[in-house]
Amino acid sequence: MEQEQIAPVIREIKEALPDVEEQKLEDELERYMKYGILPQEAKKAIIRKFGGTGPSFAPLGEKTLGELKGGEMNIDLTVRCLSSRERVQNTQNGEKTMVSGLLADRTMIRRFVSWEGQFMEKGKDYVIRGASAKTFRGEVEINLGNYSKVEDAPGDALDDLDVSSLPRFGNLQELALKDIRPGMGNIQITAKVMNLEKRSIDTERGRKEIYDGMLGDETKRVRFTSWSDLDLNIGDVVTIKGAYVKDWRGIPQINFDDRAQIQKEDELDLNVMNTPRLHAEDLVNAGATDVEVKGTIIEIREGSGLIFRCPECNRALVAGSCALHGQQEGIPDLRTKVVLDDGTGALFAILNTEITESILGKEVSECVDEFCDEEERIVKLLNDRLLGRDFVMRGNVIRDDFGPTVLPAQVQMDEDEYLEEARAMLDVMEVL
Amino acid sequence: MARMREVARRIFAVEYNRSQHEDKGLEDNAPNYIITPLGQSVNRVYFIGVMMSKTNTGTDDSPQYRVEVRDPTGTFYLYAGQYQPQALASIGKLDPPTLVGVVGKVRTFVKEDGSFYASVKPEVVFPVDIPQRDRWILSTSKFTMERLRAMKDAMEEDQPTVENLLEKGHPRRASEAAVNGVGLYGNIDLEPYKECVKDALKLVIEGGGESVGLPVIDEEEKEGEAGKGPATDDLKKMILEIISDVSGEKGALYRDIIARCEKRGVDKIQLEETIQELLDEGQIYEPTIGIIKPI
Repeated sequence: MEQEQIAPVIREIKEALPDVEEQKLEDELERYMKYGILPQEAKKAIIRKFGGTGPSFAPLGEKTLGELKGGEMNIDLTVRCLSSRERVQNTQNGEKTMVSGLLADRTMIRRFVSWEGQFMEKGKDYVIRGASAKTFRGEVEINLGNYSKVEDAPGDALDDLDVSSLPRFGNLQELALKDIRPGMGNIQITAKVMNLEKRSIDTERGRKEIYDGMLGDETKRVRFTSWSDLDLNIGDVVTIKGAYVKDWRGIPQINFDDRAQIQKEDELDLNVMNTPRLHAEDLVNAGATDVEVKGTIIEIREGSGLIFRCPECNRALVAGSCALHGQQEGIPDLRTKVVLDDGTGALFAILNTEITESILGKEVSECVDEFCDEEERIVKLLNDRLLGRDFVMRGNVIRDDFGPTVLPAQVQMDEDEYLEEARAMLDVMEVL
Repeated sequence: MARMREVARRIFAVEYNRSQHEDKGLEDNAPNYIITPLGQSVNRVYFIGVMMSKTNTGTDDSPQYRVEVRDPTGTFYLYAGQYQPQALASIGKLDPPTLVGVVGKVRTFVKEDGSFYASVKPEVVFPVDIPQRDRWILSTSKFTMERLRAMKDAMEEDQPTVENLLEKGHPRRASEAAVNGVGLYGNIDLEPYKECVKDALKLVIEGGGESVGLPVIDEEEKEGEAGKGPATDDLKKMILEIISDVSGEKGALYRDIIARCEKRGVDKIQLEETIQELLDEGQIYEPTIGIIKPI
């Protein structure tokens, strides 16, 4: 490689690594190039190797959270940590600890991710050096990497910071109820108050009156808690700006307090169905209370049919044994675990004793008598009656790491007439 | 977080089989998707059709089945082996022709030139009745129509975006599919897909195939194609040429022959019949299932 091609690259590396001897850099570059690595590629690797942040990463100095646009590198911040959570992830290089949470300064609240596990304690103030700002899912997020340093902030740096005066975390997102997800920080919704109940709870700061109820729009109904008296009444249609979303078994729950802006929409009447029907795709990422979903049962899962439950804890016994209480004389029960799939998403569903009895046309006791040692015959019967058939299930949909599960209170086979629909579709096809 | 269960897409065979792209994902064990010409990514499918044939390519003790299932638009090819015990057991008990429902995962076979064929690794196979088939046709038509409409609008734009399609009232799933489809396949002819959806709906409306639900396309295709296609002797000659063309040391893969024939306008039914005749005449032989060798 000619000297004139190397020289500019060395200069660039030198700029990023002013403390490293030039000769050392040249040797290093040569070593990379022996392996056929292009100088520009080697440059990045060398800068990283010597702990530099790269020529474009020249320090940008002290910034406020509010002025960040995303894409800034090597910035310094003075912030208060509002929350932080450690998470261990399995990566190709073994376990790695990541920390994420929320930071605030006088301008706003933003999320941070610390990839190298730099920990910050909730409520403490810090100076972060060498952070970067990235855009993730439309939000600017603070990233802490290898070269970021976290120091305790001087005692008075954020003395006058009043977090409760800041807008909620995140850009205000206007959403239909079906699109809200647990963990969202700053949402705007327009919905009808379907019911409302005043409740007293004990908090760290004494007794508090809160308001629980249900909000509904044309897409879904979601439970809510208002932590302040915001003069809501049943039947009101309201726009709420600055609510946040909590998680209860994977079901989103809207929360807000007097920091939210509430506007009554007297002109607006929403067509809120009592039990909305949703597509599975709308339930895959957020559970729901009392909804309908129609789909085809495409699999009967293991653990269906006649099972025996532990008399102590009600868990299903495996080979006569409970995971907690050992060998037990089990109590017989019926249940059916299925996959309900509507072509937009896959849901698990657990059909309870009563529903399973009605599918079989037999009660638990009859099944015990009839199928005592041939439990697989019950599974066969369930397969014959359910597989490939369409059902409307009504109930709650919870959600965990394995995905959403319908816990139906009612299951109805879809036996609606379909010929008219087919004719109508053919008409549409003719003009498509 | 565990990987969530993949949805079973409702796709007609015509759309499934014409897929020429796949997305294997970057991570280890990432799920494998095919992208259909209408842009739908598919990892799992659910379909109903007539089990036309099943061939045990394994042994009696450890069977492996090659199964053909016809829906109103074409044929799904299923391969079930020891890793699909549930499907294997069900297939063993079923006798063709019979109407079946199949839940399965996509399986792809990539040729040297990069083109590939999508078949199905069945997970669950079960007998169904005519109303079940009709309901499947209805919901599959609905999803296919959604994609056709979105594709139509997407193809009219220079740079189709999901946002634009959403604004035109398409559901998100169809908008995303259409943008994907146009990106990978460019502007395609939607007519064959439309015709297939219509045929399928007509089957529901007019009834027919009550005993086993034979696809309507059967007769229509045979009548229609007879005039268009090459005469039988020419067809034989052409297919023999194709076979020796795509033959390797061990013979020609059946799937390769199908692909080559498709390009030259010979459909699978014509091909199968001709191959059968050539086999009967002793011009070719089948050393193992799926491989054809000229004599």
